Amino acid sequence: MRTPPLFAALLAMPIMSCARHVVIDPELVPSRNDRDWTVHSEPAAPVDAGISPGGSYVVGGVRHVVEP
Amino acid sequence: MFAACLLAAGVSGCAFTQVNIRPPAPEELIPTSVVGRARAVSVDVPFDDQRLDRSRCGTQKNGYNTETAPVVCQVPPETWLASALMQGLERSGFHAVANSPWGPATVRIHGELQQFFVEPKLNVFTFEPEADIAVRLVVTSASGLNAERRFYFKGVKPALLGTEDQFQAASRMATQAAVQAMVQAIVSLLDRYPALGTTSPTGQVSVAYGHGLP
Repeated sequence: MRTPPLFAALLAMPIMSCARHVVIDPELVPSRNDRDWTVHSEPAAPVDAGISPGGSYVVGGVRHVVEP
Repeated sequence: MFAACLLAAGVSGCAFTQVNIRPPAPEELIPTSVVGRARAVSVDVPFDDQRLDRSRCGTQKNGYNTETAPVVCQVPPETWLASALMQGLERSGFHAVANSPWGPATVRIHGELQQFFVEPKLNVFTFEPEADIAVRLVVTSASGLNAERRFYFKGVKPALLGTEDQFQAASRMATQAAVQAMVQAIVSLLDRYPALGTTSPTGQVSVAYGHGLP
């Protein structure tokens, strides 16, 4: 006995739906998430920013010394 | 039989009703910490909206995976994400300011919103609202830093019915994941360059000269 076309179409819908999710599920595309930063250019060193060697600068209350 | 018809009508009716979602509260985004060490960062608010479909934040579907009603963000998603990142940075100990003036060591965070979409994922027995958020961050400073990174987040709320609360929960989970990952990434980047972010938003350099630690 042949399957009625309408019934076959209804049966296929959820299957097609599942297939769509398997194909495009972003979790399967790890390239969308970078593992680290891409640094195109780095900031000038503290010396270049005007702090003399041996001088220091403060970040969040912690003093850092620029190596001579 | 009559009750079953009423239930079916009610459930299918949900699928034709517009779904409204709103940003999570700041305290839901990330636990408070001091990893920011009071560094000053400026966040561009809003982000650049580069979504392919800017007319909606997602879609409601019926049991045949057909789109039936839009999901509408009560706050534009480009503002939603930028504000959430700023709040997350504040809660992590940064001095975060929106669109602050450009100073010599100010760190500027510019975001591009590439995707913000909430839709149900239909399984055999469950109906799971799923939120996808894609962001590209560019971090720059006048002293020369230029770094970029792409992020992709997903929030899934397993459920039997696609009610507004489930859509809200999925968008909250994705936003939390986005903020926590972006803040962590920004901390790891700025920790490589300790002099960055040591200025006030107006650009005044916080420098003390000396020959050793106090």
